[in-house]
Amino acid sequence: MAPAPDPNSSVGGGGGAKRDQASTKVKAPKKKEEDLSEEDLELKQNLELYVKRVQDPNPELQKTALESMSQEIRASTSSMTSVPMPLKFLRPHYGTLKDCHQKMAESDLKKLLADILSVLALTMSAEGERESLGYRLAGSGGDIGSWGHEYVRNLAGEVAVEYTIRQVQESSMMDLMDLVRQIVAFHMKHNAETEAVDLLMEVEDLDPLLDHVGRTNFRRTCNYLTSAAKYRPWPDDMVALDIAYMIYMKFKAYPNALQIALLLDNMQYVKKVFTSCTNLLRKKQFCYMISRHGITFNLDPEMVEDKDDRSMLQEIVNNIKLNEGYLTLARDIDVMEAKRPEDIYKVWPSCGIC
Amino acid sequence: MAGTSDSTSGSAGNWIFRNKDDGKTSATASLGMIYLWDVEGGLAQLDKYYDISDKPVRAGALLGVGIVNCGIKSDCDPALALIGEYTDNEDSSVRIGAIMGIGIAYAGSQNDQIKSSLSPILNDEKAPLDVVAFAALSLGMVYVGSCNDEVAQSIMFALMDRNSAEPGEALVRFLPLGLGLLYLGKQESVEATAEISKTLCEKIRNYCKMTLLSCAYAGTGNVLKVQELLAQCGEHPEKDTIHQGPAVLGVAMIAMSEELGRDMAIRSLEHVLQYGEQNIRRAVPLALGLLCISNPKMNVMDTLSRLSHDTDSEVAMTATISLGLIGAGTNNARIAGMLRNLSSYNEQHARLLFCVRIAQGLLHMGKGLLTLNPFHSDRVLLSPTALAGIVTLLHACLDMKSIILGKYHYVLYFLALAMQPRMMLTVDENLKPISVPVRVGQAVDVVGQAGRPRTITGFQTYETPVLLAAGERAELATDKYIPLSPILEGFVILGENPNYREE
Repeated sequence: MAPAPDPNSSVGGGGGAKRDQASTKVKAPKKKEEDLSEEDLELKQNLELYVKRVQDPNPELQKTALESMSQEIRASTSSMTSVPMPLKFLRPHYGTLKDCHQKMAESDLKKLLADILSVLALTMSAEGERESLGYRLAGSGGDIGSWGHEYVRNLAGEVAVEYTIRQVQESSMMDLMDLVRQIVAFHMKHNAETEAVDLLMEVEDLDPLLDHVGRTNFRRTCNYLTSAAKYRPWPDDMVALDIAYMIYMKFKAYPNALQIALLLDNMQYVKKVFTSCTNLLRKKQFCYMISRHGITFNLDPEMVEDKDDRSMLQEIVNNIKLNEGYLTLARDIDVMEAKRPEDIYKVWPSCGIC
Repeated sequence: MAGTSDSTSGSAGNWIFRNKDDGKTSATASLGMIYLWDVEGGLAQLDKYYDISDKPVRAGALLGVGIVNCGIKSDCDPALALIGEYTDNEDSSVRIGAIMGIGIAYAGSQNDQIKSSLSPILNDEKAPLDVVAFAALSLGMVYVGSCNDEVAQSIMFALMDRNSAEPGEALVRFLPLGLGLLYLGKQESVEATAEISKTLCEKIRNYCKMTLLSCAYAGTGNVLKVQELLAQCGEHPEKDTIHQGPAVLGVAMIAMSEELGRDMAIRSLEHVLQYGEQNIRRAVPLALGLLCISNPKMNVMDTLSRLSHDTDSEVAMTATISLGLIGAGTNNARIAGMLRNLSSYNEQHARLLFCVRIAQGLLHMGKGLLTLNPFHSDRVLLSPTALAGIVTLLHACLDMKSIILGKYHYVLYFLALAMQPRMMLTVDENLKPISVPVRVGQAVDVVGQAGRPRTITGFQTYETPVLLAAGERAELATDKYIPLSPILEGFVILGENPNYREE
């Protein structure tokens, strides 16, 4: 153990004893009080000061203390590879702050303290208590992202649990849904579409998704929705596919929208894809997709106005072109020659296409 | 060898007449298979057989017309025009040929004219059972997935009438199947009909229930229903039953929609094989064949190979046909080797040899250009008509000896509904084929992954048109063109890229 620098002399008494103990042990834990750097110690002392000030009856002092505390926490929680210093130092004071919050009168300050407690509850609260969520709902409801990714993720998890409990109790969900919307907005902005969709599926309301998808992430979101639909029971899978269809239509990704419409077996949707898309060439491609699906589909004047175009497109849907295409393929791969049965019966392993 | 014109067409007359009775039906209908999708050419070839006095040949010609028009729709309805009138012919084989032809040609079209011509047959007491069975099946195909009440009622009445008469007959299983096809993939809509089916006589009641359940939830991946069906398979009833066969098929039908479910179902089927009754063991190879159709997976191939040498000849037969199903249209060398071995192993057993030949035919289907896989468009969409065709064949194979190896071997032609070219063909804006470089490789699941990862792996570059095996995906290797659809399968229209610069 390296000799402790001067600032530690104030706690040197206790540290010295520990140092003695430590030197007698072979292995010693790394983080000891005297190992703290100058800044860390200063931070610790500041935080302890703030905590004391928060308990002070003077609101002015409380306010500055709270604001400085939240400042420290915000600055550090953007990445959570290890528990950040402020949270670590505030751990022992969690109980005190909780009591303080309870005794406080209703005010903005109380809300601010609630916000802080919500973040502290990330590491401190017992399993299943959902304290973080509780304090968040009592708090100021400001920008959720400023407290960091891990905080938001944790909240999302707690929301899901809270939702099921409230459903059983049949109580109001208003505040919960507001929070959900904030979380979803945060996730969608930070390329975590899957987490946003997961949360919305937990609270059984996928509609807010439409407002938050952007051009950059709609494909990923819809991909995830389509895959998730395979694993959900009816009618949830239809709901997920419905939303995927609407998102695709919103961003004019017509081939994908058509695919979902066919998957839903919803002819109204298919019709809508035709009427929304104005490009004739694209409509031809849609016809090829429908013809492969094998359903009978009749184009009407609403979908394609021009009569000649319509008959040409109808031809494609009716699979008239299939034979031509198939024989082109066969000619290209050079398999037009018929095989004799004897060739099949005696074909050697080295022969054969594919 | 479907779809390409055969060099033996010159001497076509001779080889058809070398067969006996119903063999001639299949032989004539095979002309239809050779001219698959080529309406003009096919109809011209089959023309001379419509009015021939030889009944089986005429039946085969009518069936052939239906096959040629499979998947091709047209305003002038050539199939209906040509064969519609024969559904009421005196000879039952001609009737069956016509009915089956219509069913294949108009699958999925929900054509009212067909309903009015075929429904009376269902309720006709004097009509023989096989005609009624095929009528029910064809109606089920024409109205596949539509939950049409009228048709459901007709078939239900036919079931109730025939109930007491000949429940032991093999073809009676087509009646519940036709009913089931009406509700293919429609999940809960089948509830009402399922309730009514409980009033049927005991022999057919359970069969009907299993079939309805499996068809209604086909392709949905519904875990609860799979559990229900597996529970049925686990029972050991005292008497000989037939309803566990469809239950096994049902497990495969429900679970086949996505990879995980499919793998789980394959494992469950292995277990079912070990503790199941006789009729279950016969159905397991068929279920495996469905799960991996046109997708020769090693583990399934090995299981089927082992089963094709089973002591129970029916198990061996279904396993052989399933070997053909999993390799359908792939020309897989390993399966070809297995089938050749089987053919020499079974040289003395005509029936087993017949199955081997069918399997070999399936393996080399369309010279390796076709697939039977009902899933398309990146494995997202399930074609209802294709599935209907495959499921029909599987149900028919549940009773090999009476149907496929008996008089009704032409039920195999229902597979034409599922045949599709497994290609990617690029066409330009005038719908003329053009050749562009594409990369073809294994499809990678990129759902939920960060960034924009590659969607294919292990790829090689080819010029279109290219063949896509099961699980493969293609992507354009050039910037000169922009595809009009991000899903590169089948026919893809390419537009010129205005920003492209020659390097």
